[in-house]
This record gives sequence, structure tokens and C-alpha cells, in this order.
Amino acid sequence: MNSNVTLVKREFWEHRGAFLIMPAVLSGVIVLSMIVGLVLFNYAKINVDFSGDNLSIGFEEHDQGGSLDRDIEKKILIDRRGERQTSKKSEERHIVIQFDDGEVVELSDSEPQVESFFEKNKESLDSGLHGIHLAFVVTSWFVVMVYLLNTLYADRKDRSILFWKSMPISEARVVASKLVVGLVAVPLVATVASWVVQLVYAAMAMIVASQMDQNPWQVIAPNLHILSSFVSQLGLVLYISLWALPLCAWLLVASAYAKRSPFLTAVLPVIGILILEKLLFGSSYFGDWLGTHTPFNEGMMDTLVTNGAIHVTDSMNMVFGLLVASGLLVATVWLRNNRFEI
Amino acid sequence: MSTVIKAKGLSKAYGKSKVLDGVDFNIEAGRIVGLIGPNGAGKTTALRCLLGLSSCDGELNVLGLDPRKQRTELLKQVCFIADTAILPQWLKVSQAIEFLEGVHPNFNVDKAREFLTKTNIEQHKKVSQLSKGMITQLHLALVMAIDVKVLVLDEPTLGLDILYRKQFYTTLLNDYFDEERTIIITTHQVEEVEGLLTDLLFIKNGRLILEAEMENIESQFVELEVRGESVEQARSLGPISERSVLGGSAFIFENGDQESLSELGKVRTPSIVDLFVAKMQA
Repeated sequence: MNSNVTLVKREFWEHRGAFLIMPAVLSGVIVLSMIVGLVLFNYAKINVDFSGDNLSIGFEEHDQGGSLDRDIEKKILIDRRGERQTSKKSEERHIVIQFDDGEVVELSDSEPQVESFFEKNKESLDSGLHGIHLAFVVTSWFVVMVYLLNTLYADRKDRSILFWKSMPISEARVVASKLVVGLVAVPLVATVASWVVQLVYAAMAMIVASQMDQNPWQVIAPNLHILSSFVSQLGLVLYISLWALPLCAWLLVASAYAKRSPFLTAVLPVIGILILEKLLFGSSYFGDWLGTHTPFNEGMMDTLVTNGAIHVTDSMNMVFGLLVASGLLVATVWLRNNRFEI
Repeated sequence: MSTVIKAKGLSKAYGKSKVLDGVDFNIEAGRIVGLIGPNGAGKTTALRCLLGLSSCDGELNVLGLDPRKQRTELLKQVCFIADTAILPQWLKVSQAIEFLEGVHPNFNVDKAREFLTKTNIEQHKKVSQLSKGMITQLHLALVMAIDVKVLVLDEPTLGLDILYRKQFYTTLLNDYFDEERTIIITTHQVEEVEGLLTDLLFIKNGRLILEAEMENIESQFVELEVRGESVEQARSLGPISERSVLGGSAFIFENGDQESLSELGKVRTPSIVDLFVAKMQA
């Protein structure tokens, strides 16, 4: 078997919970809540029931029903029966219902209302897709950062590093495999999981539409841009990785260098530089620069939320970031070769 | 016979303390070498240098390669077990096999499985579910399934009970060792590897104080046990060590004349343990 594949597999064996089970659980939670929403939607559908002198309006059966004046009842009945044949008599289709508790509900012609509901929310159909994707991207990035921070520390701590080092694999390849796992493999798994959930979401939207007596192929399908969303989501995920590369390389340095806490090793020098810069020059260039290279910087979040086009606004910054990253990676490999003992 | 490892003036210092101080030795193919010394003598450092795990000064050649520069290439031909519990806890037995199959060009899966069937280790178990002895068995099974020229074992049986220790060396000798292969072992339990070794390297304070073939130990060293007034006489002949035994003293002589010594008392070849103590205290 290709040894590169084996190295990636190794990481997934070790971090099965964070890399595979986490996105699976997240998918489950989101799908489940969508199903619950759909059931509630069905359950909440107003039942109109005419029996004896009373007309009951409520959820399911007769619960929470309220009594209404008989004249209105008749209107409702006419309206419901004539729904499909007498479509243009708009006055008759306007009903005011007053509940016992004083709540007033106005029902007008249902079809245009439903249509306009989907019409109005045309845009938000796609944002549902992006919202789901955002949830996956954010969680996967937390996983990736924790992973990178610990991966080169854990094997030194449990001394299994000497087992890995007894294999004919250079440390450069080990470090590269961890970087590829963190920046490509894990985000891709999260993306695929998010795609599955997005497809479920699309299916549910169509079910909702058909339950509102709408043709889902007319009101939903044309307004959901699944394929183009998937393509841009994939591009965005890899783009974030590219921006976050210097930060990730720094986490690896901290992980390879730390004697006790990789987290403090990573964070303290950064805080030190931030304070020093503020004290000496009163500026915050370092912090600003760092901000542009976190996976969740402002621009990135905007792009994620709106699924907007990727704009390389600052290509110099990008190139500089990549240079910094390569320096840090060289340092990581050196530490792995020469300072691996805790 | 070809030389597998050649070291000349091997030195390593941490700050001012010299861990290895100009060590010279050659190791031939088909030998089982015991690298023996007290704690902190530099055994592990020496092995790390051989494996390219540590930087060092001096000339060093393992299988025609410089471990400091060609570690990855070297590790296709050299394997090592560094300490008992170094297999990661989360690794499953089956995953360990799959990993080695993926990364090691000389790993034989069938052989590894065959070795494992002789043990009680189940393939779906994680390392964390195995006993210490089983972990060592697993590690040995993995390593023995790799066809390499040099095997380095650094305290391989540390912390194991006597049954596992015996079994470890028996397996190593019967199922693995042949004339093409070289094994280097460091251990505290000298008495257990005594019958196994073909060569001895004693190391003390970063210096090699004895390099000998086991066959030559007999002619090179003699142990004399004497009682009564002969003790003084023996002492005057310049033994390298003296210790009290029941009713008298035992002396070890280096390059002593067996015949003249035998007139003073009982003469025999010293055990490696006694020789080790003698050389370390000398």
C-alpha cells in the first residue's frame, strides 16, 4: 500500500472520535432537529372541524380549539370546499377568526399566500445550505486546531515516538502527513458530511412545500443552488486552509517543542509579542496580521455565511503567510529530529 | 565476514558532561553483541547514535550508511525496540500490522500473523488492553517479521516477569537469528543473555572498557577461588578484582597463567556478571 495513505490512515485510527464520529454526530443532531421541525410543522397544521354548533380550530384533533360564530363557520366551509373551483372571489376567501383567548387570525386566500411564502424566502433557501456548512466548518476547525496542537506532543509524551521513529519514514513526511490531515483530510470529511446533511435539508424543504400543496419542483428546486453551493463550499474550505497555514504551522512548532503544555507554548509567545508591540510602538500590526490568518477572521466568516465569491484581497499577505509557514515547518522538522525528548 | 557497524572516536556531550568519550568498536555480521554497562554509562546514547536518533561526533558507519545523514534509508535495514511500553495505547494489533505493511518495504504480513498465532494476542485488541508481556510479544512479533540486517534491542525485557523474559530470548534465537543477521542488546539482566551472546562490549562512563568475543573470555579471564593463607599470595599476583566467598576469596585475573594459578586454588572461567562487576570496579 502507498505509505502516504498509510500515514493518513494512522491519524484517522488515532483520532477516530474527533475526525469521523464528531461529524457523524453533528450530522445526526442537525438531521434529527430538522425531522423534529418537520413533525412539529405537520402537527401544528391547523385542523378545522365542524361538528354540531361548534367549529373547532386547533392543533390535531380538538385540542386548543376555540368556538366561533356560525356565520364565519359557514364561510370557512364554503371557502374550503370551493377552494379549487372558485378561485377569483377574493372577498369570500378572507376570513377573520377570533379565538377564545382573544387572538385574531386572518386567513386570506391560501394559495397565493403559500406561493408568496416561498417567493419571499427564495433567498433564505440557499442560506440554509450555507448555515449547515458553517456549522461543520467551525466544528472541524476546532478539531483541527486541537489536533495540530497535540499531535507532535502526544507521541513524545507516551514515548511511542520511538516506535514511529523505528520506521523508515522521515520526520519531514510525518509532519507533512499531519499537516495534510489537518488542512485537507479533516475539512474534507466535514464537508462531505455537511453535503449529506444539506441534501437531507433540500429533501425536507421539498416535503414541506408539497405538504403546503405546492409543487416542490417549482417552488423549491429552482431556488436551491445545490451544485454551485457545493463547489464554492469546497473551494472555500481549501482556501481557509491556505490562509490558516501559518497558524497551523505555528501550532505544530509548539506541539513539537512543548515540554509540558503545548497550549501555553503556543499562546504565551503570541501574547508576549502582542504586549511588547503595544508597549514599545503602541501599534498592533502583529495582532492584525495574525487576525487575517485565523480560520475565523471576519472576511472568512462573511464569505462562509453568504457563500460569496472568494476574493484574494491581499495576495502579498497570503504569500508572506506561506513563507512564514514554510519557515515554521522547517523548524518543526528540525525539532522532531533533534529535540524529541521531553 | 563483513563488518556491519564501524565506530571510531564516537563522542557525544551534553554541555560539559561527556556521555560518550571516544568509543571505538567494530561489529561483524552474524553476531549477537551485548552492550553492557551501569546506568548512565552511555549505552542508550551509543545505540541512539547508531540509529541516527541522536547527533554525535566521530566516524560512524552502519551498513555503509551514515546514520546521522541517512537515517530513513538506514531504517529499512535496521530495526529497534527501544523500551518495553512504547507501542501507542490506542493502536489496535491489526492496525499495527497494517501500518507496518504500509510503510516498511521489508515487512512480511504473513510472518507477523504467524508469530502472533503462537501468542494469546488477539488482532482486534488495542495495545491498552494487552498486558506488558503481551505488548513486548507483539512488538517482537512485528519486528521479527521485518527482514532487516541489524536488530537493536535496548532493554527489551525491562519490567517483564521471568517467563516472558525467557520466552523473549528463546523466540529471538530460534525464530529470528541467523548468520546474516546481527543483534545488539543492552540489558541490566546480564545473566539472562549470557548464553545468548557471541560478543561483549562493556561500557563505563562513556568509555569502552572491554571488547571481547565470548570464546576468548575463557582464555582471557580466569577466576580463582582460594582459602587460607594462599589468599595473600593470590592478592599479590595483581587480580583485577576480589570478592569474598564462603570460607575464602575469589579473584579474577586478566591474562593470568591458568596453570600457576591452579596451584593456589580452584580455577574457572568467571561468569559474565562477576566479570562485569570486576571490570566496573577496577
